[in-house]
Amino acid sequence: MGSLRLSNVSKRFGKVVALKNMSLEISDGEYVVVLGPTGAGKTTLLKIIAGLLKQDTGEIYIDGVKVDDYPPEERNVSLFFQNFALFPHMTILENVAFGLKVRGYDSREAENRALEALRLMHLDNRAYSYPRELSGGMQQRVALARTIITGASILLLDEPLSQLDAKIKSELQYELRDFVKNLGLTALHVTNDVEEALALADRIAIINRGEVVQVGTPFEMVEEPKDVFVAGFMTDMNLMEGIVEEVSTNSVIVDIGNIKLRSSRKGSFRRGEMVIVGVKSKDFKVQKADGELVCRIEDSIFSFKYRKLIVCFDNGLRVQVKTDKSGLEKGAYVSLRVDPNDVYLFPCPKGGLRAAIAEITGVS
Amino acid sequence: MQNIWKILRITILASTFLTFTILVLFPTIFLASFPLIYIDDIRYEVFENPLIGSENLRLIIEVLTFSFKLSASTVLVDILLGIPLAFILARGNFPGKLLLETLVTLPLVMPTSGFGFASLLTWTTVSGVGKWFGLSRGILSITSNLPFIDVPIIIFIVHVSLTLPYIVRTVQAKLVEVDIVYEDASRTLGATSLTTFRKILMPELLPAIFSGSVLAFARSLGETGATIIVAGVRLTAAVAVVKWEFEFKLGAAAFLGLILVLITWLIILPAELFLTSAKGGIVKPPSLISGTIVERALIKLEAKFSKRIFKNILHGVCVALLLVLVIVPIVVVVESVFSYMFKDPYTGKTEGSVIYQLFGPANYLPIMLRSTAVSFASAFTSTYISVFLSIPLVYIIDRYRVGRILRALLKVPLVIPSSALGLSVLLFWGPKFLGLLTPSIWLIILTQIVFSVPVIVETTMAVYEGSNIKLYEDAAKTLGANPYHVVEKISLPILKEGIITGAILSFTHSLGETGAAMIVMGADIPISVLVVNMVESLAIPAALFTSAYLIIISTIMIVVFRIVSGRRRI
Repeated sequence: MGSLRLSNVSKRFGKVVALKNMSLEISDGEYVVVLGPTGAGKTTLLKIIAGLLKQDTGEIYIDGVKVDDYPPEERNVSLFFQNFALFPHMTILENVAFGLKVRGYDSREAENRALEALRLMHLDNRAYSYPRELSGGMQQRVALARTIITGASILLLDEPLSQLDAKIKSELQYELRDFVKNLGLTALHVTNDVEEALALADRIAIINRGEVVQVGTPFEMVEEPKDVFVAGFMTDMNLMEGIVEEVSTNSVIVDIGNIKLRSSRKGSFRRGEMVIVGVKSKDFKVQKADGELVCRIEDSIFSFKYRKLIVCFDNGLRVQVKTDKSGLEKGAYVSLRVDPNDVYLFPCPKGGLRAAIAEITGVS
Repeated sequence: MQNIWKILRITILASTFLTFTILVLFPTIFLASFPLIYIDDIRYEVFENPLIGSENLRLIIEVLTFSFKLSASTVLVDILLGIPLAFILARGNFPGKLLLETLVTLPLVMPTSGFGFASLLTWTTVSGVGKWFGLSRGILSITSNLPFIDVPIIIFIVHVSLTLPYIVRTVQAKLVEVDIVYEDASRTLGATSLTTFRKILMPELLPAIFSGSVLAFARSLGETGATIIVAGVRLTAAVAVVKWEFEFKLGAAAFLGLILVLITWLIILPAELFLTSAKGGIVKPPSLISGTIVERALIKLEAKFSKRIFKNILHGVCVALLLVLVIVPIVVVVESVFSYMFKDPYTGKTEGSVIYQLFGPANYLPIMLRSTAVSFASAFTSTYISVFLSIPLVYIIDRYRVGRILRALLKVPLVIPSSALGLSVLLFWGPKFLGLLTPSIWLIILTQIVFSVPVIVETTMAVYEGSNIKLYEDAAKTLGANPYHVVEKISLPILKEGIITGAILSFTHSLGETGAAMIVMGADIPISVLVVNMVESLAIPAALFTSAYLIIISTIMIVVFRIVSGRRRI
């Protein structure tokens, strides 16, 4: 009991287009993460679903019922706010019990159920504190308890983890997913954090400039990115501008300033066409310099399991390589190898690679 | 369901707007019709009187010049005294800070006629400070003038005490808001404290100083209650409006009232424009003195005077002056009540005692009690109605486009001279126009509503804008609260602080207001006007007692006010 469908939803604020013909379908019990750079329209999307904003065109269906004219309190959705929005003038208990009291529950019963929800969050000992007296992690759990207790089957989460520091974040991430799954809730979670999305989502929808770019499982998003934007946003792919030199039945050879790479991935390209070549840094294999794809190690950065190399080719092209080999010193020359199956080719977007990267990093 | 809420909301907002228009807006802007209604009276009285020619015009010009000199010098001293005081209150941390803060605010809530009488007694009579120095008269004469500008010192002193809070409070509020980290950074980068003040704080503070000065100027220009008592034969413009209305020189009164309003507008409007055009509320000081040589000299000078001792002297002087101006009159009045209790201490006659005047043949006690009742009943009623009008108004101001205009219009009753406002209300409701009401407590209430609504709207708006209230309302909606619950459980509790603060301010303001009340009261004399009447009929002991009584009431009020607004902000 909690499916959600958006059909061609558009919204603009003055001249700014926040959502453009957005369609999205979420089935009951699914955890969907909407991922996109800052300003992509994520919060607007949630506010429209919750009924706090009204879309200009398009329809929203909850459990198959069109809810466009329903006020927020009758929509069977609950919204988890980015900065929690715990009512400052109420205690923790009053905050959590609020949703039940306004639905006409007896106040004793409402408080009992709120206490129970707090116990679940290990916060029952703070029931009579005020929000400002709690740490960020505690506030987050209170907000979650308050959101869930209303019994709404669709949970909208607006960057719920963004206010927390890295360590608590990764802990609460799994707690959050477990919680939602155990209660059988449908969740729509928006964030701009890729790792969070990969860890939590059944499906990910990437949006950019108010439009859905690609929807799929985390695996699909990482392995089969549809275009440069998705590839750049989801993965640490090295993106390079190149020109198609040769097209044969099952492979394409691309020239990147005299460096030739073969790709055997699907896609139709013409000779002489400008394309964007993408290779994940883990897909480069490092070996002794042997005359082919020779480059110099400019920098070598140690991390948990692997070493990140920044290497530079003769023509000035720099790429990042992840390797678990040791003994690779700065200044040494090595050769790279890459499986043609791991060489991604994307049509070159308008404005070239620069514009695409600017869009991914949200600079534009 | 949703439709019902919508209809309900529109009904509430529309009826609020309508009531607001009739009760507040029309009486305020009705002033503008003075010249039309009174065209003949004005021509007859002011310009072409067959007997005295344009004598009244000469009088009008005279009182206006006098008012201007008075208000301008008052504001100047306010700024000089007010900035150090604001600093002490905003940045200092010392025992007695709360007391000092209360003292600064006291003149805001004190009925000005009572305070005016206390000051008059203190500085110009033998019962005051003169006695302490062994003089047989006051240390000032009522005609002692300030050098050069020909303004009686006593009026000047009273005006400074009454308007100082406006500067101190606006500057202090701004200072609290400015993070001290900028000052720290400036000091660690090598600037002395005075240079830091000029280069770091001044740009942030200028708008506050400016708007505080505008308020102080407007208040001084319109002050009636205290002025009428201490002014003697001199007339300020605001007092002249009242006096002439009493003498049935309606044309002259209306003409002068209109000029006063226009002047206030001419000051307020450019100030508002200037402030809203200043980016982020920061104003760059004029660059006239930013030449390198001048700058270097300035920095050297500032280094010389940045020593702690100078700062302490300055602060000490300012605090001492505040104490002298506010505390001494209160002490003198209370002390005098006791020395006049059973007999006049100088002549020894029992006829000159407080007891005799209250209970004797003059029988002032019942009059006083009746006036107290009139004051409290009208202040309570007008505040009560104003609260109900103000809350939906805050929403209208925030949500609708007309709101910005409304907010600007609401500044008018706050700054125009109250006697002019009273005249406008009287003309609007009275026989000259609607003909619905004659001067009485009902008109007092209607007048008080006109200046109470803006006060409550402003304080509530301040909380509204500072509290992210929309976020909480949204959160409540998604948790299933219907519009009624949202208002009851979220909006009102969050706004409560602003509403209560505004209500207390408007209540005390209504209680102490004199200028407008004198014009609209008819036979229902409020207590603040009663003091004036007592002084004018030379019933000094009765006036003493009433002033002391008013001062005690307002002190209680301010304690309540402190308790309410002193609580930690959410």
